[in-house]
Amino acid sequence: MKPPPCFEDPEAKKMVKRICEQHQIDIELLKDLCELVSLYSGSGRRFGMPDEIATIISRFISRAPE
Amino acid sequence: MYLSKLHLRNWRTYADVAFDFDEPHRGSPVVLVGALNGRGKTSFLMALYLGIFGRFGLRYCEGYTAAANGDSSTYRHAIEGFRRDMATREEPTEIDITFAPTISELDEQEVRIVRRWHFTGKNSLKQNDSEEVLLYVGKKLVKLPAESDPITAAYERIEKVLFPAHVAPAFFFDGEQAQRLIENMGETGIRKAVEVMFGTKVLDDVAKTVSEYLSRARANAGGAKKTSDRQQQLESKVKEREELNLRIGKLQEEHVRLEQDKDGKERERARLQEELARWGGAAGADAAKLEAEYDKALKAKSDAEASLTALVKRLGMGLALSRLEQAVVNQLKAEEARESWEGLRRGTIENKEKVLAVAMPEPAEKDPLLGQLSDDARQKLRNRFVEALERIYNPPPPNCAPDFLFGHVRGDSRRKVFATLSEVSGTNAAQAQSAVRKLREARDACDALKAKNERIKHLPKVTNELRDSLAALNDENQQITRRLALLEAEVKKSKADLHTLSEDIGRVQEELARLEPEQKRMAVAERIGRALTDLLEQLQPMTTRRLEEKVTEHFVRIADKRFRGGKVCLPPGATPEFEWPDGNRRAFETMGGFEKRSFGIAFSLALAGITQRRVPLVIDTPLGNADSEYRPRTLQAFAEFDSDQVIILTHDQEVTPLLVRAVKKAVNQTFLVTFKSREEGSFVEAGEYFEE
Repeated sequence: MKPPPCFEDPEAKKMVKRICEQHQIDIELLKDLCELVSLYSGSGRRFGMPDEIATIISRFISRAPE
Repeated sequence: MYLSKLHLRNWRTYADVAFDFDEPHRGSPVVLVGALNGRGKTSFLMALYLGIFGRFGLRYCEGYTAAANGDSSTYRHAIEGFRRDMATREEPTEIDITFAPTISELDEQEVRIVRRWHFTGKNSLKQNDSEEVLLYVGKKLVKLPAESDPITAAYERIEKVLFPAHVAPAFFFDGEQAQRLIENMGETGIRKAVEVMFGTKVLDDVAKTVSEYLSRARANAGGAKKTSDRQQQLESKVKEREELNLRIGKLQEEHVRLEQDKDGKERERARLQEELARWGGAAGADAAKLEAEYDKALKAKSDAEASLTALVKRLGMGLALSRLEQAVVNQLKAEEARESWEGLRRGTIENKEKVLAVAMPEPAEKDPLLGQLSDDARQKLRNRFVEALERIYNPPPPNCAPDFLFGHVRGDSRRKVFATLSEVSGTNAAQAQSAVRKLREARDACDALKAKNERIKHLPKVTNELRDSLAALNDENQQITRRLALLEAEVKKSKADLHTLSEDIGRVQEELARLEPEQKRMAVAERIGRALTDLLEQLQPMTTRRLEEKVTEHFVRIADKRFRGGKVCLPPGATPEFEWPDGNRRAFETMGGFEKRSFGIAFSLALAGITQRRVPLVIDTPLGNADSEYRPRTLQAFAEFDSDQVIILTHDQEVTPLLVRAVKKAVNQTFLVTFKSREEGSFVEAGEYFEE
């Protein structure tokens, strides 16, 4: 799935990166969450979404430096 | 992605018609669909909105912009109105749309949407199951979740595989709508545009989802960890934040409602001002001025009538004969020749005896020549002289009339007729035409002023009422503006409080995160929430600036040289403006129709370009009645726009065959929509266009 344009546009991407650094997260985390939300939108279901969010965040925690 | 097919059944004037679009070639994206007014251009545009998005597309259709998103009852009424009135009860109304990937979009798939509406009476939608939607992706029918409303589920899926509905007006629009963008371009409009441009709606959805996740995780954690002081502190702050968020949400809802209210009142104000202008202008002094103008027009009309009457009197007979002028002139000339011949002949005959007396003097016996002849020979000679004299004017010359038709018109009378006829056929005929034209103009002017004058009799009452309404509206608008400013300040302060509170929550959460993994995840979720809030806020000014650059680029290209070197400004909370290099600024809404239309088209092109989506542009009547200098520039701007397909719906007076020649290379395909009869409806001929 294509990420939203703000992750592709060079200027917007810089801004996203800076804000992510400020809040000690990374772009991949946001992209993964966008993809998850997009996958669920239109499907009419939300069941299983919190677990998937937890998985995405755990994946980030495991790759993030302490 | 390009529109590869549009099949319409029982849709407005279309009985059963398919537009099959060729795959676009690089450098020739333009498709021209020619149709006279009322023959199917707007129907084409509406078919895209309603065929793709159903009831969620209605608010983008002309005449339905005030409809709420997904408003079912207005939608039913609209669909019943859009149905072809000659359709039989059994036939559904159907829009079948296919978008295909271009050769360079290898990872994309064809998307086809078939939307059908079923009717019970001739034009009454069925109460239940009146609408069905079939969505095909890559030629496979997409199964929609059985548990949800199929129309809404289809809409959400279509937005996902194609593009969001609120992006559509950037790609499918009419020139008039574009022009009206100015009036509707409040802060809300820009905010919406910004959301569309960088996919910030997805970020919004992510923020909501993460917030839901946090609430759920906290509810789980709270039950087990009530003993922890830190946890209790956290929960209290989170509760406080939730309340604050709720309050901000309510304030924002109130803000949106007020802005919509203000937009409505602005539209009403514009309508009242137009109405006031129609009733004889905004100024009260116009009444007296109009009265004087009317008197003047009456006199001009009376003068013109008198002038024409005098001319007719003077040229009466000439005018009566003017249609036979040449025949009459020829006859009169022949009669003049006959008169002259007859005069000479008569003179000779009358002088015959005098001539004979000279030739044969009496007494003949004494004449040296005649005296030698006998009486008989002299008589014979006399007879010969008489015959010779008569032969001088016999037969009459060839230009002589055989008889007199205008027996009474002789001598001076004839010369007068010649002069009158020459006046009528020469310069005086032009005078007569000019007098008739002047009279016609004077009568028209007089009639127009008379009608205006009739209306102006009621002017004081009507205009006073209109002025009162306008004053009341202005007061209401000022109140709304003040309330909006207060609300904005309150939202700003609440957001600052929220920011501080979120930082506190983050700190406590980080402390708790050191204890166990779930708390760690919640701490990260907190950070995500704060990052998204910052991102959404900071993306707005950046995208607005970007939009300004793009709108300027398109606007300056389309508009005339007066605007070179300047830039379009989209100030927050105000209507768009143009800034010249010397720093002078002027709001577009105070400019003429041409500038407003150019801005609207430039804004639409900029928005379409900045979304970075390969959606075909479909523009209904893009040029309107613009002048000949502006038309080719705008058309060229469309042709050069970075899109695979630009479909232009036009009538014969707009994108004329002559104009098409100017952008011939960019034209990939043409269609001509013709209307045969009410029973048969509109037909489409591919490869055809208006004739020169």
